[in-house]
Amino acid sequence: MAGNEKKEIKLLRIAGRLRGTRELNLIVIIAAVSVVINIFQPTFLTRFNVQVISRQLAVFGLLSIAQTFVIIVLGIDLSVGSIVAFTGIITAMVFAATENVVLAVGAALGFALVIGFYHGILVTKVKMAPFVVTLGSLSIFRGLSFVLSRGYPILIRSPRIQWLGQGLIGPFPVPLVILFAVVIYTVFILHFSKLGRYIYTIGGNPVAARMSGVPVNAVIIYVFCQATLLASIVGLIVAGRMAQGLASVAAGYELTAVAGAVIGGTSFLGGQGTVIGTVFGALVMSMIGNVLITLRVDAYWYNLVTGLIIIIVVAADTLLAKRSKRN
Amino acid sequence: MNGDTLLKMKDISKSFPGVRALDGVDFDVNEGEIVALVGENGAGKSTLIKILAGIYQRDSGKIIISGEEVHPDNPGDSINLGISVIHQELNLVPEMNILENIFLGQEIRSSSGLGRMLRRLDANAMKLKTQQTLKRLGVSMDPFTPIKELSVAQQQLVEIAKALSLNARILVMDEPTSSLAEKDVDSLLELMKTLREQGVTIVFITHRLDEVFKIADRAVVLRDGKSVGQKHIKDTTKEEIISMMVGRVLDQLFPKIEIDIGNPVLEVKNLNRGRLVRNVEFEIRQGEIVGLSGLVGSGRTEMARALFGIDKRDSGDFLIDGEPVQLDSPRRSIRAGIGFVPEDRKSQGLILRMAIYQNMTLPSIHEYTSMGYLNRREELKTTQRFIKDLQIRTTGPKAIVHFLSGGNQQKVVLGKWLAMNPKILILDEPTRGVDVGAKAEIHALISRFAQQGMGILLISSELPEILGMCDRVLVMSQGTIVANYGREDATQENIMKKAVGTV
Repeated sequence: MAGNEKKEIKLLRIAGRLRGTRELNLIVIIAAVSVVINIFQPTFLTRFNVQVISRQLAVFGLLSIAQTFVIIVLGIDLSVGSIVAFTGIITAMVFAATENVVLAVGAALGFALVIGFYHGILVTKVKMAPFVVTLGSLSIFRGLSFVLSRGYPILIRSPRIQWLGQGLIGPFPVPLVILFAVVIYTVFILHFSKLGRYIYTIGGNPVAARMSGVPVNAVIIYVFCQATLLASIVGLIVAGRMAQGLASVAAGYELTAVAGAVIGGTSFLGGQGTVIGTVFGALVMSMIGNVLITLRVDAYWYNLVTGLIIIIVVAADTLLAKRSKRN
Repeated sequence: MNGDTLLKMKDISKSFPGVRALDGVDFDVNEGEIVALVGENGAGKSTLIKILAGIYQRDSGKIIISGEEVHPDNPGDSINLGISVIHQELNLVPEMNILENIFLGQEIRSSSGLGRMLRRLDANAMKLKTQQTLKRLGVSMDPFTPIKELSVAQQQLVEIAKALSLNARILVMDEPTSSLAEKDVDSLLELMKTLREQGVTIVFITHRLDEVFKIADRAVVLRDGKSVGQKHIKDTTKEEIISMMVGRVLDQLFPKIEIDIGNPVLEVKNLNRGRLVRNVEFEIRQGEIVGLSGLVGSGRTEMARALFGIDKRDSGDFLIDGEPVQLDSPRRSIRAGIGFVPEDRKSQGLILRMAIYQNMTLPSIHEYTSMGYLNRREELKTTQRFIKDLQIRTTGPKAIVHFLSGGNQQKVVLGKWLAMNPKILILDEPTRGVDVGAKAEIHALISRFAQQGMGILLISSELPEILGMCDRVLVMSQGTIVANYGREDATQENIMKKAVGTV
């Protein structure tokens, strides 16, 4: 009797400790799934396919990190997919007009910052719900992209912009290197800086945060600016990869980004989430399509599988959390 | 008025974890009278009413209505027994109109033909009845006006109309005048008299003795969860009621340390915010503990919030150490050297899901930051020091605040403000909801802060706490400071008289 109890306590303790490191859980699962798939289809873990996955990871990873920050402060940014397309169009048009790479890239980043600032002001000063503000932008900037390009692709004849999407640094695709740099920056901000503490605090209790001297509005504006800025970097990567600005790209990516964040442990209750967890969540989202193709599953299954994975991961996590709380 | 006993509550007791809210309370109401239920904050008035309304269940005791014992287990039972309670926070749906609110949950349906089969609502019947009821109250309002377009006073009338349309035999009003402007108070009191003439029995909870003496037939006094006694209004005086409300001996819970009082550290002038903060002026000196007393709704918290820059104010000038300062946001006030322990630690003072150290260093976080980098080791060290100093019972600085007891949570809030080393500390109900032991510890800490030269503003609803701790006592009533007593003149009677608005 006593022995059994001890065993049970020990098991629970291990479960509890594992729960604390969701990142570890995810990477173990991802690695195991990859190895198993590779046994059936040895093409899966080839260098080429891993590069394919990592390019997709860069796109979803950057957007999921953007989303993670916003969700931690109790918001959501539905506009990121449209901003990807819009900034791609802007880059293409500015380059077509000026042949100047710096201007073209700068215009994309600059527009993104202005849009993020506008989101932040509407949320903090006009006190609109982030969902509504960015739902508006989702439509506005997709629409503006179509208006500006009249629906046609705008070619980008700049090898340097194309390099952002297609190039390699050593064996690493450029987008992956960009993701790596952004991860380092955002890990520092979120987990080691004063700003990061402010971000978690606002997500935990915005009223107490304000009354403790946290500049709540400024922090929220920063978070929305960072979200659109990261979306514009993705815009450059996608435009570079396709060598064109295209109004219809990245449709629905805002929700893929939310899924990546949530799988990675970001909570809609606010105040919870990590950059590394999110990157692994985004890796899961990047692999689903590739895995299905590798296993020659009909493409129609993609949405269904994606949805199931989101539900299963989050349900498992919630149930585990409940159990560890009870003990 | 036939004067038969309509309601009898006998030997009612009720405990909450750690508190005995009611201890053998008796309360009778006769048919057709207005009874005032009076007592200090926390005397048990609201608990008693909530038991009558079926919101709380009594632990022991009997409730007898018209000679029959009843058991209101939920608000519905209570309404069926003819008891209608109008709570301090009105329970109307702002988006719906007057008629819809009055008939919410008890809509009249068509009684004949197809309409009956379809359970159609009988709009005409409801409109007619609403108009009748409103007429009975002597008001002319369109039954289709949405609630959100009405003033607070008008909304209250709708609540009363709703109660009457439920055929209430006893109308219970919890602090009905606390949120009303003066002229609205008078017309409400008139209305209550009219209702009494129409045979409605009214129980009236209030702090304001003036009102009691204007309209009530009888006053029942509660203190510390016990019945102290009752008086017919025509046989008593305000002074007598006040002494019944406060009459207890001061205990020795409050370790007051004599401190030399220095120069003014905070001067507040011309502070205004709406109806609840009007022309407030006062100063706090170094090492001085200034108490701020007043009834619930007198504007104490609103004044402190306006001072600290949480709510936008209409006007206000502030000097700290003689220098003018702008206190436009909590962030600025903190920079200027003010700390603020809010009244509700869970919703305003703490981030419950975060660790002690993350809460503790928040107001002073720039001290742990260089080039944006947060020095966690330093944070943990400081927090460890305060845990020891304030005797916070916990496993360590990384413990999640949510799992601490109320008293220990409150010490974390105190610690977080001490860590920024304020010149002025505002404490709003710092001992609310903490157990007796922790309360004494918090009092000792407050005295110690003053000894270190801090100026302290202590807002409290507990008179013994104010009297025991403070060098000076300000009394607030209806948004203004109506009295400023030195320690020797501050007595329960004096303060209470000023607070209830008696000269």
